[in-house]
Amino acid sequence: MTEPVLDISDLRVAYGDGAPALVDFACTVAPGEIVALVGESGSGKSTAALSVLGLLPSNAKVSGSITLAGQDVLGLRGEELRAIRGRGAGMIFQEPMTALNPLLRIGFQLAEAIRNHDPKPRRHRQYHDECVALLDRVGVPEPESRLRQYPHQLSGGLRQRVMIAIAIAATPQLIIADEPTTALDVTVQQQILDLLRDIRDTEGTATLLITHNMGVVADIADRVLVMRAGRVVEEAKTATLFESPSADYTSTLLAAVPHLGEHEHEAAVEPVDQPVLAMTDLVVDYGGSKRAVDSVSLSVGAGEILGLVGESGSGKTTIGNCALGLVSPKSGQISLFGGPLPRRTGRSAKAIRRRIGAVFQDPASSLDPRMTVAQTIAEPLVVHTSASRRDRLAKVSELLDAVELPESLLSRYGHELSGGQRQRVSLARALVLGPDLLIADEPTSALDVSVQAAVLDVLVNLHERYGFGCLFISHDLAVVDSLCDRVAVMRAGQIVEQGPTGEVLRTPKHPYTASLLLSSPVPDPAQQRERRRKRLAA
Amino acid sequence: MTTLSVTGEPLVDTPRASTVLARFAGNRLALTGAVLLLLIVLFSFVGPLLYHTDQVHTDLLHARLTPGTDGHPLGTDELGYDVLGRLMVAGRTSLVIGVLAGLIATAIGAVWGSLAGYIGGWADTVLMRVVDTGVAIPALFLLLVAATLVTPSVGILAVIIGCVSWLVPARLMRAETVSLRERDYIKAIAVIGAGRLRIVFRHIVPNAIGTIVVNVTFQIADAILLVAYVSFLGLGVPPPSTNWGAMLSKGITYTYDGAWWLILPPGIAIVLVICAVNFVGDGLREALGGKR
Repeated sequence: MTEPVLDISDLRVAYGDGAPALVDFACTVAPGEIVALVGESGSGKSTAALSVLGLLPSNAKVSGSITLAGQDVLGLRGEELRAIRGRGAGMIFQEPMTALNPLLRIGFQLAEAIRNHDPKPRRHRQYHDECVALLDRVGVPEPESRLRQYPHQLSGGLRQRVMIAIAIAATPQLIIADEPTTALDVTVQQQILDLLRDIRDTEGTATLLITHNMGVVADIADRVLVMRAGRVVEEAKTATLFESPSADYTSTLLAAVPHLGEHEHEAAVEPVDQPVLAMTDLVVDYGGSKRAVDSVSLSVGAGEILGLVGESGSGKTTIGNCALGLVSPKSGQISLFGGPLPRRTGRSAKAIRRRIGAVFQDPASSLDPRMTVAQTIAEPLVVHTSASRRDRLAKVSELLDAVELPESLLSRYGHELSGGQRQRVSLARALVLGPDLLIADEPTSALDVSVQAAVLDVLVNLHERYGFGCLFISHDLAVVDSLCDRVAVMRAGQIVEQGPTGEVLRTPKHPYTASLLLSSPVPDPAQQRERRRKRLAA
Repeated sequence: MTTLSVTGEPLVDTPRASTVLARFAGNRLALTGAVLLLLIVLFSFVGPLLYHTDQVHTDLLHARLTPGTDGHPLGTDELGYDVLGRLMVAGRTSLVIGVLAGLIATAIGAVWGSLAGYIGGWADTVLMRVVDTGVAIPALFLLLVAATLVTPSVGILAVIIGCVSWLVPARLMRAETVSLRERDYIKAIAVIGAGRLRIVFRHIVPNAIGTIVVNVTFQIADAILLVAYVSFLGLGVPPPSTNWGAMLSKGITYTYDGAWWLILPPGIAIVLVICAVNFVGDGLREALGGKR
């Protein structure tokens, strides 16, 4: 057996005097192997990745051994450490916009990466040819002109390609990729994963991939380490892990991942005669060169869940904001419960608002930090009813129970809750008045999969209990598939296809829907291989 | 209470006073500030009851005595007033005017700025142009004009200072509001159908409490100094009453005579009050709960 590129054993990391972030961590990566570290937030996977290049914050206490390309990283200081960064292992971060310097041209940043490891450093501009070759290698079109551009002039996918180019500039033996595709759309994510696989196949570079996405793991990894609370709970070949997980936690994690195409849908939903929300030829223009929303028509029936899917920038959030009256359309009609959308204030507006609830994406900012959970949920009651304190309390308790939170949380503040708990409180606040329409804008996107599964369960139960119509905005096809009656697919401000979920997601008519479906990674290695074959054939 | 037995858990309205107090007491710096402030208040208001001096009649025969002579622990000033006694009397004026003016200025500024920031558009333009215009006119000038129109007393001076120094807090509050307005919880409350006033006063102002409390401390400090300027120009609270600023500006005249006891005591008093108020402000912001 060949010498592994990376060999970590007995690694233990603690921040300050707190509980250790990593305990007895051991991991090897052989040349040309792609190893995935999977886990939910706080499981210590990023700590493991950062420790390989000595990038941990100064309050971290590290013990154990890390051997990278034959050198003990923990013993290295100063110049030796600098030498191994980039040459021993290159690093790719989650957010390519913040990982690149916004004030420097792409060409300079690339040249810098090559120059740092050149034994005889030359002037930056003398690396022009190498830079062009690198950008060409990572599939950036028109590399010559890109070199003169700044990071903000590139799309997210191109920026991540540039980051990969920088990571492989010094021909490292290992690439450490920390959630490299989390900030990207699915179609772009697929391209980046293909690129990483291609680099492994041609250059034989080993890869340590940190991710929370089981679909990504199934797509690309050879071996998987599942982490939880700073410990490795399971290590296995990818196929084995997905087929027969040995640890309970792995099974739970896999079960929590929504599967695209496994949900049974009843034939077709009856068309509704009285929609709670209807939009016709809606146009929203923020004043750019393109319209944010371009003649969109859709309707949400009473008691129906309509999924609105699309990639970032497709205009789906704008549509949600229009329905909430937060954005005024340039033209087109919006009707709520059969009447026109009211102006923002006034008595009729208040009567209509009473019938709409809203949940937003970011659990960190969705609750007023100065209010307790009880006050937060009771706020709509205070605004709309003259219910006595006692009645309010009873209603708040009922809702808290409906979102499956214990009563002990009533006097807590938002920042004392976890992300999933906060989103449940948001749901309770949105539903406390018994609305007929719920606008949910990516309510689970910021949550871990197991938490997401629990919140979605709660949403389904609430829907059965209260029977509201719902506009569910999401970028995750699998979530939409498991939840929605009908789906509308958006691209660049337009709806390219809409219909019953079963039809749109099983037999897509529009090529964009089809490519979206093929790009969404499925947590099943065999299926993923099949899809890759299809995608390359297409 | 019987009404609570419905659920067994009390519906808490605000953070309980006891928890705020406990958190405040856990902050050593804040506690130091509070104790210091209490001592200064006692010194100014209770001190004269224990330490009797004549702060009405001048005594030129015993002017500018060095500290320690003739039962004057801090000496006497150029008119023969006992400096320690004078420090106490002056403290009353400074503290009352400072606190009152600081509160008035911050209250006006907070309401003005948060309304401008939240309503936005046309109202924002009008409200903030008023502020810009006000900033262009020096506060000292406004103060002097006002002081010539009315006879300044402690109360009137506090109101006047409060009314000329709310412009900076208004700008601060507007900036804070504009950033808070975009948070999801404000959006969530707005789509529920809550009125603008409810959003501003129930959700935005409480969340800006950190900015407001810290700003109050700065306003108090500013007001104490403003009183000093006005007194220096002879338009402050009329003699024989005085304040720390006035003592300081008079004392500076005798710097080259080595009369340090005319400068250091009021100077130190001002620094101590400002530090104490700042510590208390910081501590309050943390104790009021809700991480930012």
